[in-house]
Amino acid sequence: MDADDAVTVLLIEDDAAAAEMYRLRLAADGYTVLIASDGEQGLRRAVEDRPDLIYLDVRLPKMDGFEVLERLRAEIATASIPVVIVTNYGEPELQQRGLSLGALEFLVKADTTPARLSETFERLSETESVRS
Amino acid sequence: MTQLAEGDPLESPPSVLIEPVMAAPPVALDALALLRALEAVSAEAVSTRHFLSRAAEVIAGAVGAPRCVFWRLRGESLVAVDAEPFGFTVTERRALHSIFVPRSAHDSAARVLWRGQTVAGSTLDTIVDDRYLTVLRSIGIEHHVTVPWQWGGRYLGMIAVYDVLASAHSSHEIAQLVEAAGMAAALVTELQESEHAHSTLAMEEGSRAREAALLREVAGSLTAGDDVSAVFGEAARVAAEVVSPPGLPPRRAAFLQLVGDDTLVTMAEYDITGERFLATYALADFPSLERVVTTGQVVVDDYADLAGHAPRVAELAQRHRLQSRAMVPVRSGGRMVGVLTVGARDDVGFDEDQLQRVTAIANIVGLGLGNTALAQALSREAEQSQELERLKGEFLNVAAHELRSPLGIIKGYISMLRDGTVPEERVAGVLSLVDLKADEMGRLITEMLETARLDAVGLELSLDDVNMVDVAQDAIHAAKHMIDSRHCLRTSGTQDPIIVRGDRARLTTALANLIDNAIKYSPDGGDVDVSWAHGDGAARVEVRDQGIGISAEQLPVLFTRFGRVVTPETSHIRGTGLGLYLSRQTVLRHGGEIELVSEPGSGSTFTITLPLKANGQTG
Repeated sequence: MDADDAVTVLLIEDDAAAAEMYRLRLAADGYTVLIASDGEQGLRRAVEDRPDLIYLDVRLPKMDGFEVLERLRAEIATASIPVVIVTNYGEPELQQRGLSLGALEFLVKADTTPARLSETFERLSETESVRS
Repeated sequence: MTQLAEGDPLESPPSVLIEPVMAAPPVALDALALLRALEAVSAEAVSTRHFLSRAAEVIAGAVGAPRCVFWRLRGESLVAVDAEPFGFTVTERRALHSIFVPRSAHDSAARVLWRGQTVAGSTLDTIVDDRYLTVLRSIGIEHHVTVPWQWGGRYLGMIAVYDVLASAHSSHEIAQLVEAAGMAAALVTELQESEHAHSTLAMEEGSRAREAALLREVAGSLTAGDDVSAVFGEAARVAAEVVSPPGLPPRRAAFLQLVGDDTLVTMAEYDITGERFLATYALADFPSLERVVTTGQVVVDDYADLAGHAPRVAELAQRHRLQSRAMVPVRSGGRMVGVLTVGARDDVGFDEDQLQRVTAIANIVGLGLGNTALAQALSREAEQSQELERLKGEFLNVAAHELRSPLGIIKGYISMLRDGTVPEERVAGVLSLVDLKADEMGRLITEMLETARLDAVGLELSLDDVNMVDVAQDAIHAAKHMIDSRHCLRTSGTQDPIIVRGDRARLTTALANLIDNAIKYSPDGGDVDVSWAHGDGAARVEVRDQGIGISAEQLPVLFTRFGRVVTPETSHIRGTGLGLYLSRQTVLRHGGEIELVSEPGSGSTFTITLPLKANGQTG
């Protein structure tokens, strides 16, 4: 992929070590990686940079993941950006909530390798859930 | 006592005539008269018990015996309570009522019941059951004729006539007569019982239902913590009703509360006649009451017995025609707190059933006496327990998630090391990080285990001379991995050693926790100052941050086991909350304290204070 075609992903994740780990893999797979470490910052960057995919944690400072998701959906500029929730909270109720708010997938960090996380964009593309 | 089996030879051959009942010889005249008398009695009897009491009298008269007792089979024992024994004084009757003759006893009862044999004209030597024998002897009985009481193939019990006078009839004839009478009585009893079954049952059920409702009401008022004394009156009324058999003068009841260790105070009296007795009873003057209070036994005696040492009460009793009384202990929380007395104007006395029901009432009142405070304490405990369960559940949830974070990193990097995503030059760094994360998990797990152990065992310290300056520096070093560019960790303090007597590892952990906390709760960065000093015999280590602070409402739970301060601002912050709890427990065990000064929005200062090692303190 050349720079113009590079897919941009936004990681909204407050755990710096986890964010760094995912960035390592995503960058190796050719993605441009943006990182925001709290909910407010995440929302701002989504609006400003219009990433192709957002990886969204649930437990975040300043604004939690679900609220971020609601705002993303409410905002025309960001409403169609695909969002994948990446969290350590695996409870079914939370999954339900996330999916009903419009997240496309719900990944549990402890069970998801960086490689699998990185495949998300392609996986979603196959199902035409994302802009190609 | 061993059980008899059919056909077993008796161990000690009795010295009396024991014969199976044979066809009745012609004593028809006496028998007929007896049966007619029984019929007449059955017509006027108001209850089975009444009938049997009169029947005993009739039978005794017919055979020329001064005494007759219907022993009814109840379960595996024979009891005299279902009918009033004829020919005994109140005291003697009470003694008989207190006996349970076990069916399996190797004696006349067994023979009578197991083999349908009659024991006739026997001395008491054949009676092996100690209690029964003792009672009979104490009454002065020397002979007995005991027959099985049966009808329609069923044993109802046995009938005993005592001390039959020498007469024209032989023991054998007497036995037959009594047996015949027994059958007739059984017939009447069965008929009566089945005829009156419905109405009696209904009546019985009705009155028991009322009693149960009353008891529930009493219990309800008492456990609701209402004014206990107001309920005493009601409970006394119920007690009096419970012990008042129909057809007899109504009985009275009174609640006496123990005050100090030596006085009973009348809290409530119930008597349909409105009679009142004494307001207080000094235990020293009332041995029976004292016995109830000190031994917890139910005591039954006669008011007449009081004539000697408590003439006033005896006089009152006589004036109000009271004859006997039963005194039941009232307990609360294992202590004796009073006495419930019931008094009878008749000579019928109290039976086991009545005493049990009165005891039930006493127990409920006992519950109430201790209960206003107890009820509150119990419901507080229940609330706390529920809250604790809830917190534990939350805590386990949080703890599990806390462990997932470092686990995710470890597994993530392992997968990337394997598939070659990690470039060569970064492998070393990755391995270090993974190692640190593993340590983090280890710490979390240790925290959880420590907390569990704390519950069971308490904190175990291995004591030594510890320099708090070293502790501070170790703790800071341990906390460094948490520092990022937004925080600035500063230290200050004397170089001189600050020696305390303590467990170095635990003190280091306790302090490291505070520093961890300071960093975590300063999400926007800022300074974290760690300083140490000593003075006034104490060592002080202070950790100050410029973070979000802690409000007054959050303080009480802060140092508790599950007391993570969770607010919208802090909900994202990692940690189980155990750290502060363990820190405080550790410091307390060292004889020290942790103080907290905090201002929401400006930050917090935690101060650990520990006593300096005193001269002469050794390990």
